[in-house]
Amino acid sequence: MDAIIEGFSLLLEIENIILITLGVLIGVLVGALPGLSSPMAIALLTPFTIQLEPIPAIAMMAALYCAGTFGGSITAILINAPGAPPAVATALDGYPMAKRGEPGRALGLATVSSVSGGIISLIVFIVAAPTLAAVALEFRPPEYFALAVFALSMLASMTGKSSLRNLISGAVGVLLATVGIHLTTGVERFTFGIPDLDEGIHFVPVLIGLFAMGELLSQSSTLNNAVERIEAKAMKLPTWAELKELKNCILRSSGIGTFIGILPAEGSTVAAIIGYNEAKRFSKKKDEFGTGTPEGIVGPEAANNSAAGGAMVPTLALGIPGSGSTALILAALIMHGFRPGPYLLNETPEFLYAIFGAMLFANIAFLAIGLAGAKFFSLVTFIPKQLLWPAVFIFAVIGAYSSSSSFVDVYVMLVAGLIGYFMNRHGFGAAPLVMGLILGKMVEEAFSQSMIIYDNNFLALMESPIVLFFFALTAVNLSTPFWTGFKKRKA
Amino acid sequence: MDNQNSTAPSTDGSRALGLVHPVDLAVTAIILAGVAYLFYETTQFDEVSPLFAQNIQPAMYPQLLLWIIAGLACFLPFEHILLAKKGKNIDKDRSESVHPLTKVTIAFLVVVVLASPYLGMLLTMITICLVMPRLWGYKKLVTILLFAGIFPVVVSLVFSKVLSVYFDSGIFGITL
Repeated sequence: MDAIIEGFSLLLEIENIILITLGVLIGVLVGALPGLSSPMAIALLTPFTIQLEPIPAIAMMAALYCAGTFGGSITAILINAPGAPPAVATALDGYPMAKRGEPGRALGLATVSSVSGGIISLIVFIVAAPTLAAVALEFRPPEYFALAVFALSMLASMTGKSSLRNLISGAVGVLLATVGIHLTTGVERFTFGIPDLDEGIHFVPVLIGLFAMGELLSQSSTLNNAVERIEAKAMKLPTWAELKELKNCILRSSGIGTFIGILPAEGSTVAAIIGYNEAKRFSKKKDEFGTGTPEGIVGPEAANNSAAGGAMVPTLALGIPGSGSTALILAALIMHGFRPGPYLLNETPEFLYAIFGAMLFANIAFLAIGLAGAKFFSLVTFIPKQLLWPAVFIFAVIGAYSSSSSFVDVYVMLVAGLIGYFMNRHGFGAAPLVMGLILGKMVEEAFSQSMIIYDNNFLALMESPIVLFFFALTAVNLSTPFWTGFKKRKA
Repeated sequence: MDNQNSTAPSTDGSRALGLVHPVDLAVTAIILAGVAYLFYETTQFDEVSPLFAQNIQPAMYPQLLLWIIAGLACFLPFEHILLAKKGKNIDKDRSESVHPLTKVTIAFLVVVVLASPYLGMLLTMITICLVMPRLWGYKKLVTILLFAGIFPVVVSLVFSKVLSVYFDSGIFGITL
């Protein structure tokens, strides 16, 4: 009880409320602007949160994460260009509804379902995270190793062009985590005589480069893409009768989204697509999908916002990122000196409640933003790309520079951006690489400790049923893409 | 366009490409070359006594990862067959060569970043705001001038005064 009071009291401080509100506004703004994304905003924001207390800093990022997912729906509905990937399914019915003269109604449905999905997933989060953390307290290095391997194998099913490329990206990320002085032996690895690399790869410039610079270069080839904008004068909330009709769809999608969010590496985009498909499967008006049906909006919106809450469960309880954005939040946690995982929640439970409170605040703020600011946020899409992206580049340069006031980090950011652009071009995602980078140290540490425990006998790891369970899941996970491909070929 | 047709997400597309995807073969070759170089690097890591290393030498784990990356990369040239059956087109974003504006942008970013220690942070920001919009075809000169005059100053003030970020003044000594 003390932890709950302490956690929530942190959110009552005016400075923290301002920070969380700022996180929500930035989140909705970047979510609404096509090309900008919440992972990018979190990466850009991370270096500037160093001076903040850890809990408000992480709470601000968590609020931004939730808001970024919601913000994407605004442009998906009004200009048929999802501001963020999780809103891709929302555009399928949101834009046709807006086009037939009901943009306010479409925004209202998206807002209410986002808020509902977000709150449902937060209830699951507040119950599941401490429970999972308590279970994970029993984990020893072998179990952690198996869990981390399972999380990495989930990259195979992460959104992207190919499972194989996601796995390669993830493995490269894990390899990058080995750069620097080996903690056990003190031996330099892959430092190439550069003293700046002794402590390992600096997270911040790499994250900014991969997410912001890579996207900037991709945007440079799409400057002439014209879009048709639909003006939204005000948001129109759904009626009780309408809500009653959509209740089951919202609840179902929220459940799906939360579950998918909890799975390591799966994120809001997968949740939204499955949420849309399931809404269609259970609908009595299947034929109306794609023409602007309410279920086609609330299905993906409830699912993608609930995935955000779900993704925080493994992130905070196990130290395993639930999505690309939460991988960045984990990186920020590490930068603030926390060791994410069950000990964090058991030793500082107020942390959990502060994050919960911030995300709850963010979800409720969507309603206010939707009601009062839908028109403004639809106008931000008028900012010319030619002015927007130089501004993003400036924030990227300052962000990389300010992490250690060094131009070397700006060079690292630039190189990471160029690599990120070409990786993306060839189907290798940045998010799997970041997840590998975050999990890399944990994998090596747990592997080394396990080998010591079992005297270098890898097979002895299987003595633990939990290890066996995670390895079995890993095997299923890795074989699924090939198995489904084979099944399709037979069909 | 021919290239786009030949890499369409269909079984036919994969047939047109044959068993081995030429672009992915090149990607694999680059990855394998990188892996080979890094593997060589791991052989140069210092060795420590088995007692100190607790049976795990510092090179063992990176070598294991490099083997995994190499193993996975070997499947890349054939992956397009499986992807085509799933209706995915891996060539969608790379069917056309890198856009000329992207190349110019890369060149500008490299130059401005390399020049930033000499220009200082404020002049770097002003240069970016002046050059990049023009480079990207924005024609409203007054807007650009206002943008280049106001945005870097506001950003500098916020970050240096409010967030206490130290900004290098460069060889011209220009800062706020």
